[in-house]
Amino acid sequence: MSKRVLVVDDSPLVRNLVKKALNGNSEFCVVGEAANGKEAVDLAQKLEPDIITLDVTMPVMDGLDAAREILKQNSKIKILLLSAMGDDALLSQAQSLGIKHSLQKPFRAEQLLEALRKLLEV
Amino acid sequence: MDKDIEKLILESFIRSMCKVYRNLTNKELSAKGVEKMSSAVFKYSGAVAIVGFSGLVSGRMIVAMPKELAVIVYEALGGEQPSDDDLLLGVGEFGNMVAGNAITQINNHLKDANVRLSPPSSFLGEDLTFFNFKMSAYNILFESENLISRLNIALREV
Repeated sequence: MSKRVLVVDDSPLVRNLVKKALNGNSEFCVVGEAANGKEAVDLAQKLEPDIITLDVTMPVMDGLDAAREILKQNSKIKILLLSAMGDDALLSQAQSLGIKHSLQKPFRAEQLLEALRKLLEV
Repeated sequence: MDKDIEKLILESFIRSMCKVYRNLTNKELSAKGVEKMSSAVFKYSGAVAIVGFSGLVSGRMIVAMPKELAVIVYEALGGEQPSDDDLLLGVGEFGNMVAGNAITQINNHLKDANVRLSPPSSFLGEDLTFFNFKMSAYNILFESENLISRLNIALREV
């Protein structure tokens, strides 16, 4: 059965890139998309996805604050941080929340698929 | 600002601009030199994204490109037949990626720098004029396929 993915990014272009990369791949299916952290928290509760691809710098609520809320509600959801930022301090903050996987933008479709597969190995 | 830190910041932005463009388009972008601006005004006609950054070092990055290059970037981001609004989205995301990659390098080099980005703003038009308040600014020219793009990095004077 394919894993259900919630795509979170304030840029519709990036959300489309993620959807295109996952379309036609039987391992993953996109079940929803959110444009900020607040929407992500609401949709995560409603849709109960297996995986969330999560941007960091977003309006309303940023990715790390959203991740904190989401994982408080459901610690089984796996999160892939998908951001233009990827410095050690940010990744360490993410790790302290339980997020161990990240991919820096720009990314290629095959890099995204590989990162999602690694996320599921844990 | 310390000259070594200034050099690190400029080099990080130049490397990031080339890397992001190459990763997106599979084409090379070459830097054509850095020039310190003698005027506080930056003028441009085309597509522009501005991303602010703040932390141990603060300032803002402007990435500016002709409309033809904004179309190439938009299509590399997976879009097709862009409207002007689409180009604004594309150049904004490109600016976000360039700034994000540059700030990642800066944060990893300067421990405790904790520099963070603001979401990008983008503009499209003729004779766009930007004024730098209390910031020293640098222009960097880039060339790809006979199209010239620019980075304008302004650093807050402390």
